[in-house]
Amino acid sequence: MMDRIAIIGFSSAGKSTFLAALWHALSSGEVDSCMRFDAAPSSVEYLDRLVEKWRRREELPRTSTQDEGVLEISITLRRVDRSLKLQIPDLSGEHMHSLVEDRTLPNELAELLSSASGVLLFVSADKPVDNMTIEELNEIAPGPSAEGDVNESIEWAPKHMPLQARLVELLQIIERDIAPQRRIAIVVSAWDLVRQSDDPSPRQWIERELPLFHQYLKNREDSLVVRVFGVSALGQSLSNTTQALLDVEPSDWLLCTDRSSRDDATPSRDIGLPIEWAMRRED
Amino acid sequence: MSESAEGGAVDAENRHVSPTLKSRDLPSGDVIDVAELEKLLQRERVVIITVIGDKGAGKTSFVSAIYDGFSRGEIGEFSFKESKTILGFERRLFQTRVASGEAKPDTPHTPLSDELYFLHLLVCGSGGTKELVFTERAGETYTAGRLDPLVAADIPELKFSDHICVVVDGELLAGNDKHNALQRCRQAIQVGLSSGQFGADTRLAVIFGKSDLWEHMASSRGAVDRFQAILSRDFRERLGALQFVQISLFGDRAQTRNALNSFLKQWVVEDRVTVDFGFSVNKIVSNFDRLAFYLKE
Repeated sequence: MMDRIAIIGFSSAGKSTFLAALWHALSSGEVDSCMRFDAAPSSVEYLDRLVEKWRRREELPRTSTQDEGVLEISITLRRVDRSLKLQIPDLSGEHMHSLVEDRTLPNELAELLSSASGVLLFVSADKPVDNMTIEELNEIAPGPSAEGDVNESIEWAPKHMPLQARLVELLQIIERDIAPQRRIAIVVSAWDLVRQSDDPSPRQWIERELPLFHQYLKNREDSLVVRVFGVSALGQSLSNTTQALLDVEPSDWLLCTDRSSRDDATPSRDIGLPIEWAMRRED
Repeated sequence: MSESAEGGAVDAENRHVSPTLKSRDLPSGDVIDVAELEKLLQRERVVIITVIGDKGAGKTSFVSAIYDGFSRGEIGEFSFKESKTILGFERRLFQTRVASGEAKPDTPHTPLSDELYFLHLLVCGSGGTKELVFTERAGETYTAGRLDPLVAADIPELKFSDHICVVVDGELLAGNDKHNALQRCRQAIQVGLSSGQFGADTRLAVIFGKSDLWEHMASSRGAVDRFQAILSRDFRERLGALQFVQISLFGDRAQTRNALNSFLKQWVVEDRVTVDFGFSVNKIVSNFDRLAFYLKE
């Protein structure tokens, strides 16, 4: 019996980087994890390619629907001493764009999401400012634009929806058309960027940066069990890579927190925590 | 995977695998139609809000502003729970965003069509959760209805809605067309009453839009004040409720949120559960009448 974990999110949300870092954390033995790695029952060629790039701190290629790989591992969940085989596909963000923007639901995605033992939804903290209004811009930078600065009008398409609207719609589709009653771990990737600023909790970050999504989650507690994790798989952005970073053990780059307020526990290096939580039957 | 004797795909353990379709289509997420609204009405108590006004008055802006308010945070005690038309709201708001490349914020005009569509929001507040739907129809239809009671009598949402909002174009209030703008509003209410679409059950709000453009102008301010007084004198007794709201969707944000909050209070908290439109089963001859019937039941 194979348990499947669905790792979903729009393009550039940090899914493949997470998978590479997870594979390293589990297989290297460097991290004291909630999951013990027992074996890899099938080829790890795809993951090895990813993880070697990750260890060199090279940019990972965007996963297309043609080159999706899968992480298959046998693990033991230490908390409940339960051994299981995990299958974690490296799902392309293109599927999510197809769902929300093209309004088509591929059967294989529906099958994965409805059969998954746990779902992780990725959102990058390194997100663009995509819902600024013209009025807000005028307040920051008043005065008419120079003639050369006038942008060409763009025709609306669903791809222009701000991230928070896309996230709400994605979960609405999953709940309405695929699999109601879900337990979802929301992973805010590139959490190191947030820690460098005012250090909110992951939940507070969602409330501040994605207020519509926050309200949606808050009001769906009857059907959706959610925990928000802040995860950093690189410690710092790739552009800030130093020799010192390359010299330390890669697992020192890792960081995972699910604290509910600023003062709660210090972050862990165990990035398996969102998976372990998402697979629980109850809290 | 192979073919079974009866045809169709089977897996390694000879179980039938749901074949053929590689994908299926999802609802557009732009608007809901009458058939979808009917389904909703059979399951939930739905508050229907019709926003009327001439083309360009700001009907779409007003409806979009409610969703936009939620996209920036909770509005007073109210918060967003769901929308079946999130793409529709986003499309209508796009020209207010920097990403559109526009120099001035705008909202698209609703195209002229015989069909009636709706935008949807599920909102949480102290009164519980409430389904709100907003009718979506081109301003030209309402202009035609304002000028001809027979046309008005054929605009079903004027009758079956729980709330009517009449939007007065604030840009006109700031200029020499202010009296025309105000009299068009009066005409719309008058014809609604004379055609039998409005009555003692009608809860009507007059929305003076774009208040940042005219509020500081003494002549406009005075004209609006006198207009409100006359409207109250003439119509308050004939309608279920009559209120006046001045709002600027692109001006003072706190003021906008206060105005939206007061609307949501009426729609969500003070909502009546039973609405008697005086319909009977043998009058159910169209989709629209059926809607009214569901509401009554």
